[in-house]
Amino acid sequence: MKTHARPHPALRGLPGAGAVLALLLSSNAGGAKSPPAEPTVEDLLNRTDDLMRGKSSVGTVTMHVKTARWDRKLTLKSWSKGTDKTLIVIEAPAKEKGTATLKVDQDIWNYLPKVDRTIKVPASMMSGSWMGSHFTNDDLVRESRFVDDFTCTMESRPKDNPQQHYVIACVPRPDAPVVWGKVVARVRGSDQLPDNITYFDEKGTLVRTMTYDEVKKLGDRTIPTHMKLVPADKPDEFTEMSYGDLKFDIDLPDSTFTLQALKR
Amino acid sequence: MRMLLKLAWRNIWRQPRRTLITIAAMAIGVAFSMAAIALSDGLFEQGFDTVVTRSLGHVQIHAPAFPQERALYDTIDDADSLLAQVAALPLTAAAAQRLFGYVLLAASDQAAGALLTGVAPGREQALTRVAERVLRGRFLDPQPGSQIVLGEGLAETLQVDVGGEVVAVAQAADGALASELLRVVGVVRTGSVATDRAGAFVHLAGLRSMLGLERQAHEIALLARELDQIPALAEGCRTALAGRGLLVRDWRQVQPAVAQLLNLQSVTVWIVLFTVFSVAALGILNTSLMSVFERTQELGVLLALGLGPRRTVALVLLESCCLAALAALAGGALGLLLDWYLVRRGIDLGFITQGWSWMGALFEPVLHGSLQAYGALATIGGLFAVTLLASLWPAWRAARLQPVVAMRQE
Repeated sequence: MKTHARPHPALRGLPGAGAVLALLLSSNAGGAKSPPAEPTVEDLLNRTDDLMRGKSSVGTVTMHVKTARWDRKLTLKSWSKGTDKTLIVIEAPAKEKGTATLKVDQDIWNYLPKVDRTIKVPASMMSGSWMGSHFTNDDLVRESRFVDDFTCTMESRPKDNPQQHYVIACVPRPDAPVVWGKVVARVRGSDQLPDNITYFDEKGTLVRTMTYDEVKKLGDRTIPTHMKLVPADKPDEFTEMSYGDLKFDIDLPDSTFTLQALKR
Repeated sequence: MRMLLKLAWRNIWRQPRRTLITIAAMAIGVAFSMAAIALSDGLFEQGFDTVVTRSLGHVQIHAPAFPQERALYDTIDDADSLLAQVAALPLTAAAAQRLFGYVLLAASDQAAGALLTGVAPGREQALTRVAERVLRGRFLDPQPGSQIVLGEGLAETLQVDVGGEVVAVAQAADGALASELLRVVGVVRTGSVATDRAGAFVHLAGLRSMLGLERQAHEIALLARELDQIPALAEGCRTALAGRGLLVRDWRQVQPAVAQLLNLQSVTVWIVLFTVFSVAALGILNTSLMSVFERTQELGVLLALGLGPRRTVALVLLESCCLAALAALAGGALGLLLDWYLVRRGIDLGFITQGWSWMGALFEPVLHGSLQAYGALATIGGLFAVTLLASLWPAWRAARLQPVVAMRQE
């Protein structure tokens, strides 16, 4: 089966979030509208894909980053098209307004309004924090590569109780240039929406946990609207994202995702 | 005694060729030892000045975690007033503060990670030589501005030169993505591989506002007025900053490796001196022993005439001392000449190298000697000590002679 990453459009605009959900999605569109009784990994991916996918999206997100050093609340506006094109612009606070990140394929550019310059993030800085959050630039890029880099298997499924989870374990393919040794996703048995995803390093130590909650109807879809990423070694820190308004399948021209548009 | 001296002087000239050869060997030993000491002292001074005084500073002040972590947040808070405080200490000759920041520097086509050092240009020159190391362009102007001086390798990586523009991007202390447009005013070669490859200098004030660390610094470096006051200056800083929770270290603590290597250098000199003098001692031993053996009969007569064993010892030692004195005169004169040349002209290695770097500092290609009284005194004192030691055995042999047996010897 040839698979391609197809992140949840609402999350595509955000680093890591896309990668996180990409494993739940595949290109084999046209799955069942209602949850199959005994879904395979593929079914689960297809089902989520079908439910959450959009050709494009426009949304507003509030991001709250808390670290030992800072407490940041940002309002972001994001545009995405397909899996490869993403544009995120900071709308608030005023000091950072206009700062923008453009991702096209594997490349990231930052637009810095203060100096009116666009800077391509070099390979050496990909592991650096994105806008002071717990996401890295690499997370942003990895979203469109997750299924290429990982092999996923179903570890367990809910028995009689719908409160139980599907557990999907993903390990990197040999030679995949990834930092994770293993990624485990838990999908709710009741509605087959993501509940949490845990990331382990190559030694099997938990590195971070992403949890999803506040399932709500946004636009025409029901999805988790709140996500929280907590690094395992600093349990007091987190990066939290809440979706405000979100629209799917908007007609976005490719010119939205160019360096010229980045400068506006 | 006068008589003995006269006798000794006459005796040594009974074999003028041997005497002259021995004196020449000793004199050359003295001259080259003096030159070696002068050169070594010169290297030490040059090394100390270049690596310690004009790079590290004599005393450094940091937040306790900074030397290990070099993290953005390991700052000296309220650095301006602290700097004023330690700069006003009576032992302080100069003091400067620095702020460091890891940034992404982007030129039109290239980008690279870099370590920015924020300096106050006026104060920095009083400590380090960075402003003298400018290859092209100039160092930062005294007035704060959006200027940057790039390390040579960094300028090459970024493909930008004097007059060009770079953008510095960094995560500020509050997590925000900070940026600053900077004009390249100069390119430096400091001799520190790390700085030249990925370092750059900017105005302290500019880096502070970019990183959101308006009142902080990562490092305060000080120079003492006299080198022997360094520990006292460090102690003075500790007292002045007591209760601030800061780490005050002298250069030995900052760079123990440099301290060890500088110590090792003086050890090397003593090894050289020891070798030279060992050879000289064997020469004296040989000459002295030969002259005693040759004169067994004569010494027997002297003993029979009532020259006691103590005066016999004294005679042999005096003979050696006459050799040493002549060697000291000749060698000292030659040594001073060599020293003078080393101090005035030095050894120019310009044909081999443009200058080299050691311990992160750039050295001039000319090695200079340093003339100090102890060099000549130690060498000549050593010469006499070695001479006396080497002559003890022959003198003792002479004193032990039985006059009757000795006189009969052919």
